[in-house]
Amino acid sequence: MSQIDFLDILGGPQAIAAISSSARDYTGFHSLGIPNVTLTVKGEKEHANNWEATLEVIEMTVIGLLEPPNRTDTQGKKRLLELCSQAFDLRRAIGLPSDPTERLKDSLRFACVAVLGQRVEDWRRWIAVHDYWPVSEFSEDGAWPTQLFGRTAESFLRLVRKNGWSDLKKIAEFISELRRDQHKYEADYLQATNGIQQVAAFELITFYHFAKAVESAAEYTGYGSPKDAHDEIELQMRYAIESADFSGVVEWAVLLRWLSAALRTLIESTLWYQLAGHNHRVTDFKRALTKDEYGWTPLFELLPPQRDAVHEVMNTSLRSIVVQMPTSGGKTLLAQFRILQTKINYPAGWIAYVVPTKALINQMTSRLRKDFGPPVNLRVELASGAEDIDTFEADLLQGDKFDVLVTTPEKLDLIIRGDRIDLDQRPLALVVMDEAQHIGDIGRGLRAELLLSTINQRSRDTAFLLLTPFIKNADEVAQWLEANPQRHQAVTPTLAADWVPNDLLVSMAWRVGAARKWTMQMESLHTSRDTVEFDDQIILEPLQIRQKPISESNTRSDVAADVARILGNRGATLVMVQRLRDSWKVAEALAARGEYALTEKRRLVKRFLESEYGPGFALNTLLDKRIGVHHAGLSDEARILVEWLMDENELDFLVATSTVAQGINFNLSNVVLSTLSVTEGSHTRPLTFDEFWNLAGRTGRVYQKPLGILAIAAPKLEQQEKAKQFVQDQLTELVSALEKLIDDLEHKGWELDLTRLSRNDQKWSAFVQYLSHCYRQIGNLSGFVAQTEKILYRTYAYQRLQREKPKAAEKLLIAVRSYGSRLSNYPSGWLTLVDSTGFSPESIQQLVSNKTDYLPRTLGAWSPSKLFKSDGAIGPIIGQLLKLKEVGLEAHAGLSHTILAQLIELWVAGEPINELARSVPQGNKDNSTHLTEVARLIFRSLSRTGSWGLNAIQSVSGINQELTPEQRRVFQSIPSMVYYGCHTVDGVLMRSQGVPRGICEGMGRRYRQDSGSPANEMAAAREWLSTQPDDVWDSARPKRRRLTGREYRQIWQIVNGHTPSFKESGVG
Amino acid sequence: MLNSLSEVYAAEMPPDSCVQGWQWSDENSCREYFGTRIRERLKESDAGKILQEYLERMPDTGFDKARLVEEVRQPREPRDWEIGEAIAEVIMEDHQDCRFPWRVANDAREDQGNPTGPDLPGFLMGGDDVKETRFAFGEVKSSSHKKCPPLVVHGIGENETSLVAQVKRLLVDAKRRQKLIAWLKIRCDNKPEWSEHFSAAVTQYFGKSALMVFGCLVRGGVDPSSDDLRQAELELKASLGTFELRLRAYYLPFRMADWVGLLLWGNANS
Repeated sequence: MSQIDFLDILGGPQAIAAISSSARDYTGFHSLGIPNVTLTVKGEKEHANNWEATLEVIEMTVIGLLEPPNRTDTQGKKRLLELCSQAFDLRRAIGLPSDPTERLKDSLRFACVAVLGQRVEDWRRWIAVHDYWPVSEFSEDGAWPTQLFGRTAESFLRLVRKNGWSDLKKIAEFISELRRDQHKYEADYLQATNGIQQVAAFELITFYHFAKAVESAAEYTGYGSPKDAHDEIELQMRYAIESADFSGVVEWAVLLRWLSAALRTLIESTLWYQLAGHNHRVTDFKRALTKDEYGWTPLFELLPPQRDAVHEVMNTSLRSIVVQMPTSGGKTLLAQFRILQTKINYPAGWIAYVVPTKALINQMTSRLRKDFGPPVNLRVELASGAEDIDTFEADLLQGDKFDVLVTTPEKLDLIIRGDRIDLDQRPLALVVMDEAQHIGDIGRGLRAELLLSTINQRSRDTAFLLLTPFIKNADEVAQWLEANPQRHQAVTPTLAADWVPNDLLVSMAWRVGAARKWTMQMESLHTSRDTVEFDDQIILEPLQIRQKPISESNTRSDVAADVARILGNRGATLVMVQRLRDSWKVAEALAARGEYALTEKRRLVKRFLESEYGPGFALNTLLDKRIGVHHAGLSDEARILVEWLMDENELDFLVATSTVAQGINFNLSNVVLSTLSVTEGSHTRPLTFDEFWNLAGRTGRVYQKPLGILAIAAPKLEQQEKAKQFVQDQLTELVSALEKLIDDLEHKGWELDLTRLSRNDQKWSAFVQYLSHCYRQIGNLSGFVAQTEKILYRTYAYQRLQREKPKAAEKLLIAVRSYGSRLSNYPSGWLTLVDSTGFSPESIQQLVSNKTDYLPRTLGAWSPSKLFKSDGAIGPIIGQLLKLKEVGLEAHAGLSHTILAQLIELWVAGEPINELARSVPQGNKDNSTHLTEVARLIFRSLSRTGSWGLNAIQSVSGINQELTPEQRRVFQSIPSMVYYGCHTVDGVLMRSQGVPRGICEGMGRRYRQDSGSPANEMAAAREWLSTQPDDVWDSARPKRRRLTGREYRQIWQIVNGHTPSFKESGVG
Repeated sequence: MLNSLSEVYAAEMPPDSCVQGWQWSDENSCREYFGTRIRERLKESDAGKILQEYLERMPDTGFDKARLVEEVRQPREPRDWEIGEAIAEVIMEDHQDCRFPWRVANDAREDQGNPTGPDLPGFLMGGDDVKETRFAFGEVKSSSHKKCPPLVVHGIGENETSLVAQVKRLLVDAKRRQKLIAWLKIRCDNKPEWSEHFSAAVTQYFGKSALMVFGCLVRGGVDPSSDDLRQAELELKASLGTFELRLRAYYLPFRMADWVGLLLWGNANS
C-alpha cells in the first residue's frame, strides 16, 4: 500500500456531533439563546467523541497528497480539496488551543487547510467574527528563532488574509525588520545555544528560506513581479523543507510541507499568475483591480470557480461560451477578462453587455467604468432601459467610439434590428449576456433568445458569452449559437463546482402552541456541505403569552414578520413578500421597535423621498426604525437609495418584492420568504429553482456573515410539504420560452396561427417581430419560404424541437411559412416600423389604420409644451395605446386615457408623486397603498410603455423627415421625456446620467450654458457633472423643492455607484 | 558485541513490570561498540559537514549567511548527551528490535528555541510479519550520577525535561504522538522499504491503539540498581492505557566524561 487511506482505517468519514462553544457562537444561534444548533462535519453522529483524532487523521492523509504524483492528478486534487475542506470544518468547530505557541502553529495549519480546501472566504470570516489574530498574543521578545517564527508566521497569515494593501505592505516590513535584526540576535543565539550549533543554524536557515518565500509571494500578489516568483518560491520552500529535515524539528518539517503547498496555491490563485502571458492591456486591468484608490477593496486573487474557468473564457477560438457558476462565484469578472481579450483582438469592435433588468444597467455600468477606467481606458456607455432611442443615444450609436455598451435585451434588439449602429463599420465583437437563463422566461425571455439569433445571423464574427447559474443542458445552449464543436463550450468549474461562498441553512418556520400562548418553530431543510447540525425542530424563542391567539393573523406574511424579527438579532434581514401591499404590512409589523438616532445617510434618503413622494410617506417613518421597503412602487432612484442604505449598514430589515432579487449587492445574514411565488404584472408564477438558490446564496456571499439562513414562512401543513418538495427540486434544463408557448398551445388544443396569436397574446410578439425582421432582410415571400427552416434553425427553440419534438417543429415550420404570406401583404414600410419600434406587425397595422384618430395634425402640436397638456395630443395618443393589447396598459383597469394623460402631464412637469396621486381616485385604499400604486403605475407602466408607444406613434406619423435638426432633437427626445419624467432635451440628457428628476431641468440649462454643443454629448455631460461644486447644484435647483443642491449632488453620486462624502463640501 | 550485555534486575521486579536493567560488563566489546556502531550513527548525522555542503549551494534569501558560514568552521566535538542518545538508539535497534531510520535533533537546542519534541520516533518491528510493526516513540537520558535514581529521571520539582515527564507526555498527549506520526509519514512516503511498515504501524495505532513507548536511561560507570527506574514505573503505569511501555536502563562500564574520547580515539582517557 503506497498511499494509505487513514479514513478507511477509521471506518469511513468521521462524524462530529458534540458542540464546542466556538461552534455555537459561530452559527449566530447562540446569541439568540438557542444552544442546539451546531456546525458539524459530514457523517454519522455516533462516532462523535473524537474531533481532534479525526482532524489529525485527515490532516495526515492530506500530507500524503501534498507531493506529486497526487498533487498533480485530478483525482488527487479533488481528494485533497475535499479533505482539506473537512479539516477546515473540524478545526473551526474545535477552535484553537490556548497556549500561544501551539495556537500560532495550529493557526498556520488552519490557514493552510483553508487555502487548500478552497475555504479562504470562510477562514477570513472566521477570523473577522472572532476578532482573532493569533500573533498579537505571541511573544515578540523571545529568542531569535521565536522572533523569526512569530514574524514569518504572521506574514504568512497576512498573505492569506490579504486585507487590502496594508497586509501586503506589512509583510514586506516584517521581513525587512527580520533581516535588520538578524545581526542583532543571530550570533548571540548561536553562541548561547547549548545544543548543536550547526543544527540550530539549520533551524534559522529554515526560517530564512520561509521568510524569503513569503516575501516573494506578497510582492507577486501585489505587483505581479518578479515574473518568476512561482519558481523562486518553489525553490525557497524546497530548501526550507530540506533544512527543516536536517534540523530535525519534527513539527517544522511537517508544517513547512503544508505551508509550501498553500503558498503554491496562493500564488496560483493570483490574478497575475492566472492571467500571465496575456497582452499589456490585461496587465493594466490587473493593475486596476489591485488598486486601492477610491476606497474600493483591491482584488488580488481569483475565487476558486473563477480559477477553474478563466482559461476557457479567455480562449478566443471559442465563439460561443456558456459559463455556469455558483451564486457569487464571480461571473462578472470572467466576463470582464473576455471583454478585454476581445478588445485586444478586435480593437475596432465593440461589446454589448446585456443585463436582465433596467435597474441593473446603472449598477453594471458603474462597475465596468470603475474597473475599465485608467490605465485600461475602455469607454463604457449605457443605453437606458427605455424602449426608444433618444437623440443622445442616436448620436452615441452613430458617431461615438464607445467600447462597451451596457443595456437590456429589448434595447439592444431595437438597436440591432433598427440598424441604429452600422455593424460593418463598427463590428459587434462580443455579446455578454448576464443571467442568460432568463431566455427561458415566458415574459421577456423570448426577446432575448431571438436577439441572439438575430445577431448570430447578422454577424458571424460576433462571439457570445452567456453567464448562467448551473443548468442541465449548458452544452446544448452553447451549441445553439455555434455548431462547430471546436468553437463552442459550456464552461463549468471542474474542481470548484460545489464551491459555496459560505455556510447556508435553508429552513422553514411556523407557529406552535395553543390559544394565546405560542412561539415560533423552525426546521432545517437543507444545509450547504452538511455542516450545520440541527436538532430536528428548534424553538426560536420562549413560549409566551401574546396579544393575539395563535390562529389569528396566521398568514405567511405574519409568520414571515415573526421569523424576521427573531432572526434579525443575528444581522441584516431581507423579507421577500409576494405583493406590494404585503411589503407595507410586514414592514409595519416589524416596526414595533424603537426609533434609532437619525444618521446623515438616512436623513438624506428621507429628504429625497419627501421631495419625491411628499410628506407623510410611510417609508420615511420606517427608515427611522432602520426598516426599508423595496418594490415596484418606488422609483429607480428610491430603490437604489434603499439598497445603498442596506449596503451601508443603515438598515436592519428590508421588506421587498421580487424586484430586489437581482440587485442584491449588500450584506445579508438572513432571508425570510413569505412566498414561493413571484408576481409579474397581473400573473403569478412559482419561484424557479435558480431564483430560489440565487436568493439563498445571497445570504452568504463573500465577505459576509458566516452562516446564511434562509427561512420559508410556512404556517400551514401543505405549505410545509411544498417547501420540503421545493428544496429537493433538482437542476432543470434551460427550455426556450417559445417551446413553452408551443407546449401551452398544444395543451390547450389551440391552433398555431401566428396572426391570431400576435393580435391576442403579447407573449408571441417577439417571435413575429423576429420573423418580420427576417422577412425584411430577405425582401420577398419566395425567398422567405425557401429560407424558413434556416430562419427557424437560428433559434434555440427550433433546434430543441427538432431534436426532441419533431412533430411540433414541423407544425411551427408550416405556421411560419403561412405567416410569411401574411407578411408579404404588409407594405414594406410597416416591417421597417416593426424593427424600429419593437411592435408586432399586427400592432403596427392597427396604429397605421387608425392614425387619423389620434395623430396631431400640426407639427406644433408635437412640441412638449403643447403635447403634454391635458388638452394636448397626449390624450388621444394614450387612448390609442390603451387599445393595443401588446402595450399592456389596459391592465390598469378603470383609469381613463384622460387621467393617464393628466398623470403624464404632471410627471413630465416634475411634480412629486403625491401630487400625481391626487388625479387618481383613491377608493378605500389607505394613503401608502394608494401612493405606491400610483407610483408603480408611473414607474413600471406609464413611463415605460408610454415612451415605447410614443416612439412607435412618432414613427408611424412619418413626421421625422420634415424636421429641422433642432426640431428633430426635440422630437426624438419626447418618448424619453415620458420615460424620465422631464420636459426638455437637456433634462433627458441629465436624467440619462442619473441626475434626480427634481433638478434635471435646472442642471440641463446650466450644462448647456457652460458646454455649448460638444461632441460625444453623454460623455461630455458626465464629465461636466463630475466637476460641478455644490453651489452650481444649489443654483440649479427649483426653489420650491426642499432638497439642497448638495443633497441633490449626493443623490446623484449614489445613483452612479459612488458613496458621497458627508463631511466636507466641494467638488468630488 | 551485544553478547556482553546481561540482564541485571528484571527478574527481581514484579512479573508485570516493564522495567529491565542491562549491564555491559566487558570493557573491550563496549569500546568496540563505540568505535563502530555508535560512531557510524553519529557520522550519519554530522551536522557540521551537512551544513557546510548546504551553505555552499544555498540560494540567496536576503539574509546574511556569513555568521552561519563561520559556525561551520568551528571544529566541533560531539556532546556527551548526544552520544548517549546515539547509544540508546543503536542499543534499542540491536537489542529491542526497534528501528530509527531517521534521526531527529529536537533536544539539540536549549529551551528558548522552538518547542522540542521527543528524542526517538521509530518502529518496533514485528518479527517476520510486517503487519505487526508498531510505532516506537521514546525518550533517552544519560547520567553518571551516583545517586539512584539519578536526577535526570525525575528532575527537581515540576521539571518538564525529566525522563518521566517526557515519557508521560508521550503517553498522554495524542497531539504530540500525532506530530511524530506525521513526521514519519512524510519520511516514509515514496520509500518502499519503509512505507509498508508505516502502514502497518498506523493501522495498529488507530485500529488497536497499539504503540510502544519507551524510556531509556543510559548509565555510565555506575553500578546497576533497580531503584533507578522503580519509581518511574509506578508513576508512568498510571497513564499507560492500551500502549506498551518499556523502561530500560543500560549500564555501561565508562563514565559519560569518557564517551567523547572513546568515540573519537577509542580511548577513555583522552
